[in-house]
Amino acid sequence: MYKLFMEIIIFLFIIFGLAQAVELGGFVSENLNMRIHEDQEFIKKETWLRLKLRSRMESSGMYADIDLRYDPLYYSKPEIKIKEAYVDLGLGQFDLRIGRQIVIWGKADEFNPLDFINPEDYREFISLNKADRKIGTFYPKLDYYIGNFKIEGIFIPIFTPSDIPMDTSHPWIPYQIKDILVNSNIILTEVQEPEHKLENSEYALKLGAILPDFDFSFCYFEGFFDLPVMFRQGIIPPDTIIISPEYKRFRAGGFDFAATLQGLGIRGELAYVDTAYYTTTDLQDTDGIVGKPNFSFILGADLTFSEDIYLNVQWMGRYIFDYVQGIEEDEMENRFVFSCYKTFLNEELKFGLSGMVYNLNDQDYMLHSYLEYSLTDGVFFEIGSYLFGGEEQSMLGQFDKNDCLCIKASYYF
Amino acid sequence: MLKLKLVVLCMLIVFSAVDAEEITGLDIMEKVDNRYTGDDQIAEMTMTLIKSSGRKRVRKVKVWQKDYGKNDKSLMRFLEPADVRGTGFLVWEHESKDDDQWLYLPALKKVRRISSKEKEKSFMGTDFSYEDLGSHDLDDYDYALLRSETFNDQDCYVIKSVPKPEKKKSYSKTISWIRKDIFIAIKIEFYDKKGEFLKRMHAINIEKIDEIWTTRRMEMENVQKKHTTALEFENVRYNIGLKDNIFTERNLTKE
Repeated sequence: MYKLFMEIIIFLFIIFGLAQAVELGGFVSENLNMRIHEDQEFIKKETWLRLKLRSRMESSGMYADIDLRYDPLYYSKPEIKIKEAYVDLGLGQFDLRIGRQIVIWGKADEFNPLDFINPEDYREFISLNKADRKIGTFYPKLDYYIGNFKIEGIFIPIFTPSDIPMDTSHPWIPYQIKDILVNSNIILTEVQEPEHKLENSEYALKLGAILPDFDFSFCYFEGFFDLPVMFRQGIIPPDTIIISPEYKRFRAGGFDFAATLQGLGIRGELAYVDTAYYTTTDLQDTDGIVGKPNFSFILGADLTFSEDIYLNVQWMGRYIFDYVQGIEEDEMENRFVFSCYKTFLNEELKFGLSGMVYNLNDQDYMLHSYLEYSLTDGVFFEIGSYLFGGEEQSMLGQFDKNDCLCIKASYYF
Repeated sequence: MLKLKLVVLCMLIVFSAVDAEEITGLDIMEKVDNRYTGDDQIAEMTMTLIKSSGRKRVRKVKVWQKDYGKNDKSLMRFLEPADVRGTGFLVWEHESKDDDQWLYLPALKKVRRISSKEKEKSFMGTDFSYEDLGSHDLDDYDYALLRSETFNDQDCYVIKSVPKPEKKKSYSKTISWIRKDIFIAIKIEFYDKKGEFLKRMHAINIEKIDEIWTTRRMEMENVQKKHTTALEFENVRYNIGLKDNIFTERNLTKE
């Protein structure tokens, strides 16, 4: 079904291309990341070509993003992927989009508690913006408009998981995974994806509006976590543990908003998840996992100063309900994110600094600085750095050894 | 906000002969402000950024604008350069409060509400600020008719506009040369908050389109930065009968 659909889209692009109704755009970029510590080895040497094909007629159209990426550090040959390929049909008050697509819910910047729809590629942990980290998946999306109100419905027939690095030499492999893979006393069983049955489909519904002074939406989602839960299935005496990963289903609902106040842009999201899963150290717990509801939120503000200085600050939090001793994560986690930049020379030159404290309790952080220069229209050079710190077994502190310098050249066409 | 009719100083009103001896600065600016610029408009705007070395960069946008009385709406779609192609900018303008503005960034897959307070900020790196391209409340300034003089073979009124003390504006004053026959500004000098000469605008090509006088080309030179932006309008059309649904989130996200 999916392959047939993709063939139809490619066929349509050829037909419209012959009719000269297809716009071609995209970019090519070269990215080099080199570790600052240890042996100063490269952790990224990527060449990336993206082709954007677009054909629009009145309220309908076709769109495709095709990526060709090659990094000799991780792949023996170039990787070609259809990031997105979909058809848009405008039917009166309805817009139907069908095909491989990416939808990001939530009005906050980069970090969205309401972002339930598409999985992510965690192999690109730091180096891309969120939309580039997202994995396109196949589903229909139907939007219904009444004035400035919109109802959005999504039906995802087949679950797609996130990609996580499973190679122990990969720079962005999480320590929890690496510990399992390198420990000879742990047997990791193969993860089973949910069967392709109607009952394993995912659903999402959103009601939102943009209004004078205020935008908002209410969201509902029922589906699977994109990452598997690592259940302890059993112990083989004397000391071998069997870990059995499993994709678990959940329901979630939430609310987001955006407003402006005295020159400040203000954004917020909150989400309630009926059952999230946490590792526990409680020896009485046979599978090593407890399921508890949680509540996540983000509140942010941004401001542009007259001297072309932009500042964005966000506070995120997550609270676990019915918290019990033994859960490895804190009952309440607070995170802090900021981003700022200043442009010079009529926006030819941009200096930026962004950072994140993932967990105020662990004091783990990431700091990204960059200097970007536009040589001419569509040609950019960037030099920058990523610095990590914090406790060794914390979300960001674990990547302390990946402090790196980055060089990037891009050409947009 | 950024809309054709408000590309200031560019449009004409039909005006009967006025006795220059009796007219005041405010009278003249009211004539400029009340000009008829059509009920709606479409145009393509090309902005050429020119450095003192002669190096050029180009930005192109398509603009839709509709007059809703005192609450106009406009939509811009960025065509060039390639890295911002498909970006959309929607503005619902309000007379008595801040405008509502949304930006659609295809790379982020999101509609983002943005603040409309940054009037001094450069528009897309050009020498035009959001304030230059936006609407102006006549009551925010005091006007003085300095003199009449000929500029570029055109009889002009020379008007000094000074923001009222309680109004926060980007400039300490502006001096405008208003053509007497069609009441369009063909030259404006801008002075920064310190009173220093900052930049000058020249309207170069003014012609009638659909019976409405329209500035087709203007240049803004920032004398402090030694940088110039040429602004040109192409494919200008008026009174097309634009539908209300053009100025919605639904249309904003259609790349």
